[in-house]
Amino acid sequence: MRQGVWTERPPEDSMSDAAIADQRETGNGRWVRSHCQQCFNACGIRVEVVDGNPVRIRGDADDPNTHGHLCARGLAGLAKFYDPQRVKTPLIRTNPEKGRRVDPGFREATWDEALDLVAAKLRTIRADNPNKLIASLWPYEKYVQSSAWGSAFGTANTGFSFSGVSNQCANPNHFVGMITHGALVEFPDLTHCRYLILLGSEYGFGANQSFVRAARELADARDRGLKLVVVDPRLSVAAGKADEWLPIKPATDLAFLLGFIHVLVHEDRSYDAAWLRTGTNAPYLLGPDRNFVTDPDSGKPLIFDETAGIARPYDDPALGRPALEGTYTANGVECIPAFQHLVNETAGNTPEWAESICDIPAGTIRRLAKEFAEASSVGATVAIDGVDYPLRPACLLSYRGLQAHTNGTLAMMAQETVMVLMGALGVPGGLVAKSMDARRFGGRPQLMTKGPDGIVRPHATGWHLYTEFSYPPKSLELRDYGPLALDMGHLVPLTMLEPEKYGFDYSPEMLLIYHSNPFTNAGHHEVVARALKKLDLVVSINIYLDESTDYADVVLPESTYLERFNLINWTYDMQGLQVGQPVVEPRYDTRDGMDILIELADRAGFLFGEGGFNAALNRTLGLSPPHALALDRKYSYAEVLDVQARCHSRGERDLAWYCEHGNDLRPVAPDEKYRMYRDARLPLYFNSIKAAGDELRRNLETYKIAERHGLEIDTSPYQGVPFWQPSPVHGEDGDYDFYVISYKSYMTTYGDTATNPLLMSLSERDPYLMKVVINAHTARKKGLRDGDVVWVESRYARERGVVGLTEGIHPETAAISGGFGRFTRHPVADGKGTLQNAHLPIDLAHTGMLGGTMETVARVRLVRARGKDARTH
Amino acid sequence: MARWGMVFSLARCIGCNACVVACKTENRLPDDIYFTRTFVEEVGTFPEVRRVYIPTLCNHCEDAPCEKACPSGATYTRDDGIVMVDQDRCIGCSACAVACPYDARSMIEEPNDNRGLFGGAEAPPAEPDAVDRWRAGTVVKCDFCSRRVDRGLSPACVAVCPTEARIFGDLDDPESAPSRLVRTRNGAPPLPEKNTKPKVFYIDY
Repeated sequence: MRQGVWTERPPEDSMSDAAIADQRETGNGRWVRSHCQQCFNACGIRVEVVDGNPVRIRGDADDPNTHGHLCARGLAGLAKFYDPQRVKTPLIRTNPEKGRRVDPGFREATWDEALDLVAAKLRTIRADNPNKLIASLWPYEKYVQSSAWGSAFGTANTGFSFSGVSNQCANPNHFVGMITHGALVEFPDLTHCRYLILLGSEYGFGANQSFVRAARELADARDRGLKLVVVDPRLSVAAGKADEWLPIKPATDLAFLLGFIHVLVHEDRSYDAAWLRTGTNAPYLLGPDRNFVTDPDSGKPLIFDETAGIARPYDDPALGRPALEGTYTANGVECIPAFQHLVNETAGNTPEWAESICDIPAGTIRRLAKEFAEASSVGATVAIDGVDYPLRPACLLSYRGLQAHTNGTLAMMAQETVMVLMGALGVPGGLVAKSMDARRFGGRPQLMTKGPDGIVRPHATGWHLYTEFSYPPKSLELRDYGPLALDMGHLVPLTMLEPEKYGFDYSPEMLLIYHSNPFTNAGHHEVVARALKKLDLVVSINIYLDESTDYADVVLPESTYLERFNLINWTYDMQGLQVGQPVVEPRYDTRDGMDILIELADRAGFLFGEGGFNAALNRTLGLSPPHALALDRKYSYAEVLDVQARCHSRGERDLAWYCEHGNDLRPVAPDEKYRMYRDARLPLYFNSIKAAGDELRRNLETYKIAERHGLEIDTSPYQGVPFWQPSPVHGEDGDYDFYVISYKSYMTTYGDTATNPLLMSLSERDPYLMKVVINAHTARKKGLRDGDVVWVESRYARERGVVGLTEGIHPETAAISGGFGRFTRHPVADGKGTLQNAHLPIDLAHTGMLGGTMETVARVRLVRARGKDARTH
Repeated sequence: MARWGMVFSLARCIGCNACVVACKTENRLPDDIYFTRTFVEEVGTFPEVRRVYIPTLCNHCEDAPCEKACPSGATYTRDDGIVMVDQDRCIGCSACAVACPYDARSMIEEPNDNRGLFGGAEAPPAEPDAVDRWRAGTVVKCDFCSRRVDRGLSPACVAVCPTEARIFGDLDDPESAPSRLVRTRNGAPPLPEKNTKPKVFYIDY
């Protein structure tokens, strides 16, 4: 239930059933429930249909997650359906020349012809070496299901391969969140939180998870007096509304957080020591090799018992008070508790040191850390449904702005270190986990388990947290050399151009792109274009022709989200499912992308049997008899979802039920929301990262990867505690005097919304969104004025932009919104705004292989355009 | 009879433009016509700077200058306080637009019925509520979604607002949400010096 001052609601909810009935009676049309799919948040919508035409989209007031609220993108969604640029029939290339803006000369084809052409190549590749297919599959609302297609095919190059989300997303958030407390995504528990520090995140203000709901919850929390502090190089929407904005130098959040940790453990000593002793691995003893010292008999990690003066296994019932600090001897080696290791390693990270790197004054870091510690109210508890939980009403929450850098995983480790120190993970007021369990597909929330070392083990359904080393490597993303990378899809264009250089014994031949666009997702366009040209067959499942289809051989037209089925739960604290359904029959000769994948699997011979796509879907969706896909039957995607609905409702509800009712979302019980790790210990010391790094180092040496290939794989970040590592952009190119950053807006979803005339018209009216935004004082020094047309120049690209001036940005920073600067035949999108990612190099030096990130900051200079280049259009 | 009014919380508004898109699609407005807009203002100098988002629409003034200026009687006030435009009587003279201190009135320049999202190329079918709604040569404005209000619904911009920064209700009812907010949070009308007695108030400024 909603609480607080802001309890007034509008006199009527937007679309009550009574109102809908009323509208039906007045003959205005019928309202169909569905969910939006213009980003991955799946907000409930209702679509009015008149004479077989969708005429209006509104929020669904019966969606308990969003209460009928909806964002600009959701409300403008009809444009997608009615876009005259939609691909209306399968297309096959006639012009052999591929290139940027080179007309492929597409001819119309039948589905049979196009599918057979693609399936024939799939068969050949699968019989030869399945890795030669790159399956780049990124339909937000069902990316796990589509990835299962790639797994069933048998390629190591599936999921985000080639396009990558390492630029768009916050991969370290997912990776570190999962190994720390099972959180695929973290949510601040705003019903209790009183102090929120956002780092490179617009949680509740725009991008990020669950925007529509988070916006209301955060507005309510601020109304109740929550203090909001925002750390961001740019005066983001969040920063502009915050109690305090700290303009940080790009890619230095790690230094800020190390300074923060220094205050907590060295100066203020204001951490939750009782929790660290019993709820974390902080007291586990580390030997000189910084691995756990274990009991010779049981192999269990040891803790030094201060009461008895001896070391005991962590779960010994006789264990007295665990030591957090000091130096001890156990098993004949000198050892220290993991907490002491953190103390030692951060000794030099004073706020003054942090200030010298991140440009935030030491006094401010010190004050904030103390405020944060005080707000954490260590020791406080709150009773919910008769159960006492720790109450830690202070959160540090980061996202892409902090994480999408080579040092982003270390920075995310630093965030979690703070949260573990305060005992604020999975408890009221702190960060609550959305787990990667079957709940997303309608199943019940599952408790986390623990390993033999007593430390939490996350669910990772349809997800991988670890890639086994292999040589020759299999993954064109080089996951073999980056075992903990969640995604390095952006590297694929690089590695496939010179496979032998990286040790590959094969070269990819085919790329299937589904709802993705490497030119707007990845980096350096020349590398992407050369890679696309090198492939024998490029297939695009797409609604529009875009930058990438200029290189495609076959385009398979997908229906829009108003013509497709889906069933998902994207909430973090609810159970049940939400339906996406066709509000009208698909227009033109288009199909649901999942039905296209099913058809391809069938024609290429990997739909059936134990290794087939059906079996892979059963595993991913957690389907089990009697409600599982038969391995010898071909289903439509709607039929797959029908089985999913029946399975997770134990036979009570089918797809038709969801189509009628929209959703059966209801809040999970408090004990399924909080402390889902139960008595598993959380890592203050990231031993799994350390262990993976040690193993990687051994493997790289054994297989002589450096000698053979001249590849310097940096294994130094694989440590148990975060430490300062600069981004390569901090040391390079004095000639390029701006750090150029990119950001997301509530009116864009990547480049996908740039085709929407309503959203574009609003974006063009925004004072910043389409501009290259720089600090007004810096501009004066450089002789640049508001509205100047400039070339944004780096070593990798030269793009036009229009200068926008603001007081709200770090002086050395230029900000360019993501989602614009498209160069495509679509008249609404073409040539508007500036594309930042063209300036991002694709190479190993700018890739954080721990966690899997791309460095999303680049160094550029702004040069005033002259002559006809200076004209705005 | 209610007297409809609206309250904007400047603390809650994050400028996301959901209201603007809801309004445009509800009323099927031509590309360059907005009944509600959100302005953004930067306040302060680096690094002490913040941003204010200011939503605006027709203030449905008690002493509406547009109504007084209207020579044809096209602009009138309903019993529930909603200021309306009767397009049958509007002669397009724009006196209202000149008189309005809030820039809340817009001239429909050309016929709307075959202009879609993509400039007429492939228009969404006319929405039943919007069809034949906007006649070229008339000067129109927000009507608090009177058709929705008449059905017991709040205006579209209010219903969708993710932060509930827009609160709609009966100003004659002292216990209504907007009445209470105006009272307890120093609700202020826009440009009070114009003495137009707006039924729209700003709080948390």
